[in-house]
Amino acid sequence: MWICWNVFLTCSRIGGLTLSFAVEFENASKFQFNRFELGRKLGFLSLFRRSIAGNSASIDQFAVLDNAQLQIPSQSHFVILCTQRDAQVALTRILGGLTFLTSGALRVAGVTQIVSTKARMQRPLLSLRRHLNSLNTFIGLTRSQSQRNTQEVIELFKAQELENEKLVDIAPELIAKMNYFTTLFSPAEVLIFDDVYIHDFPEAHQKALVGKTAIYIACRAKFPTAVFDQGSILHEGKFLQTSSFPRLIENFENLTTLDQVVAASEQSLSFEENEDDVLIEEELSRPPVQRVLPRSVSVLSLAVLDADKKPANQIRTGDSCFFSVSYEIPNPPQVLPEVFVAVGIRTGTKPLIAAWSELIDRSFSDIPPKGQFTLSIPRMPLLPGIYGINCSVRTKEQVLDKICWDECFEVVEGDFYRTGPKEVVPVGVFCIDFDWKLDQTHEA
Amino acid sequence: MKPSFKNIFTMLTLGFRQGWFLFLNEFQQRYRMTFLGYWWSVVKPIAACLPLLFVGKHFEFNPSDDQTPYELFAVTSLIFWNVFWTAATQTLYFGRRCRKVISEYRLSDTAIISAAAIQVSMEFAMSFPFVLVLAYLFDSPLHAQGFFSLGVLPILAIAGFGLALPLVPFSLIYHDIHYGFGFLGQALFWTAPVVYAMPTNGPLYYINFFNPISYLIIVPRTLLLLGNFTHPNFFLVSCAAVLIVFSAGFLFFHRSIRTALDYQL
Repeated sequence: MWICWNVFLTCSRIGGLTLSFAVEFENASKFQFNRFELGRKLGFLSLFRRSIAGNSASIDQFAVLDNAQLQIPSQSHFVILCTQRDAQVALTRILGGLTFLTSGALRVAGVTQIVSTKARMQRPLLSLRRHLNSLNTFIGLTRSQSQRNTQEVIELFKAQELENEKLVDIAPELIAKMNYFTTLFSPAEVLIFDDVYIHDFPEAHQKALVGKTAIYIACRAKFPTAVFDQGSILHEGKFLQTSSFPRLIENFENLTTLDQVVAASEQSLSFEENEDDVLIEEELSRPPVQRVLPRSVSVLSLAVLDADKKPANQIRTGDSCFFSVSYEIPNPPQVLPEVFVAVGIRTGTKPLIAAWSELIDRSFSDIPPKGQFTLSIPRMPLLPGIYGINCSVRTKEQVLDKICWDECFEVVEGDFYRTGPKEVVPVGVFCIDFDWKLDQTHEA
Repeated sequence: MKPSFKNIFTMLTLGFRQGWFLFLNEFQQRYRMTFLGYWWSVVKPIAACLPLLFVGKHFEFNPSDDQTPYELFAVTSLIFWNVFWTAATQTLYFGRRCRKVISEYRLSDTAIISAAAIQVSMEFAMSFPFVLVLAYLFDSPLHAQGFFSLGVLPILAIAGFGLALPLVPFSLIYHDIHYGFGFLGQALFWTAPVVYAMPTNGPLYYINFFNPISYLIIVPRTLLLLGNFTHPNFFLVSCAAVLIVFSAGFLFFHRSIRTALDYQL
């Protein structure tokens, strides 16, 4: 009876959008039982108490969403950082259409698909091909789509000889990766990733995301931030949002450690409306926390651009690329001395490239209140790998602002020497220009 | 997805294919650690029949005016009863066994019904030859009109689905449904004239009279064994009642299964 009652109280809509947003939460609420606190013996009493109290959160429930608002643009890479693991799981299920909201509305432009390495219907005696076919069927593909998708994944992993082997005889890691790419290749318009994976086939991954909206829901802030366009934090049922990725990571880490939000300025928290940002404003009543460094110039974001000056999360070795550093001056007008910009590329904590404007005697004076510094690298010398970036704006005397990103962008195989594909693979960190000659004048 | 014939057909075929994979995976798993293996699906219906045949023949449950041997009478009824009861139990079984799959994927609502229907079809296909064997052994002819009794099979299966579907969401939260469902089966079994002829008076007559399952068992049995179509009006009313109950049960299942999965421990 309680389930019947709850069914009629649930009001969630999933339908097509005419706006440019791929996903829209409107006054969305979702309260979920803390499963480990709900014991079966008291199950009936808990349900009865909840039905008397109505849909408000009670001691047995936590708020996954509490009158939350969020709009995710179409064809964007959006990350949602959750401060609670349960909220991450629940939000993934909500966006995947596996559970309903308690109240409010969720609108999605198209079909959603959760991309995951796990496959619940996996059975050890199934053959690999049949496992992939059944996975495709369970995610809703037609027979022809399913067979095509299965064939594509098997060819990607070059696993033709394994397709009739039982899953119990195949390495679990391989099966997990194939599950991941099987769900990734589905024709859904909105893909939901329950974590950020470093994958083996970046080109196939990138190709699969063309024209689609990717939503990454994570609990940790360690991921290549250059992959993403925008982000938000889900904290205590509300979507918090910042206008730049460094702030997002910083705020998330503060929420998870100090339970406080770092203020963009010393004033009360209000996120500035920016034309490039998603149209959500959230004002928190918490007191701002003082920053350590007073910022006269604030680094907002870093974008990695390919040779065509288009945003890219991967650069090929040998290709030209650009790094675009957006900044603003929080308190104009302010007369600033000449400033220098520095971008350092590193792996882990080990610095590799120092692209400091001081080294080439380049400084910037009378900079406008908002703008972009662009670093151009004619030929990316780094070999394939994932790299982090340190970016700072400084004067001769002091550092005005410094931001560090771990695992920011990826370098993939390319053609540094413009000699075409080779069987030998260079090792090390860099490619350098060099030449070989035979000295015929030397006599033994 | 907009409601159109093409989309409905796509949904039904998708549900059937999903149900097929659910059935195949569970069927392999079910008999994995057994000696007889898949032969259990043949042994089980026979083993269930034998005690009932023995007791029924001893107490002469067969109708007095019917020349049909009791063994043939009872086995035929049991096979049709099994269609109904297997549909009900397998719906609950797949709902419970595949709850993780249902919670992780947006399965079509017809996937569980399809899996149960495939199981029912398989068991019927394996057990119906016994009717032919018994008819041959007892030299009792089967009538051509019995072919139409196959048309009752979907109605029997739908009756089973209609009984079990509303219970699937509850069964995910309360295991009492699984523990108590067997008792319901026992009660329904003896309130329908499965292994006995419908009496002409007494309380059992009224119980049989108002039980819609009675006509869904009697009609195919008499079509096959006697070539008669008895109780046509009551049969049609039973069919209508089954369809109404199934529709309501399916709608409830569709609205509540996701909510019930939220409360999985």
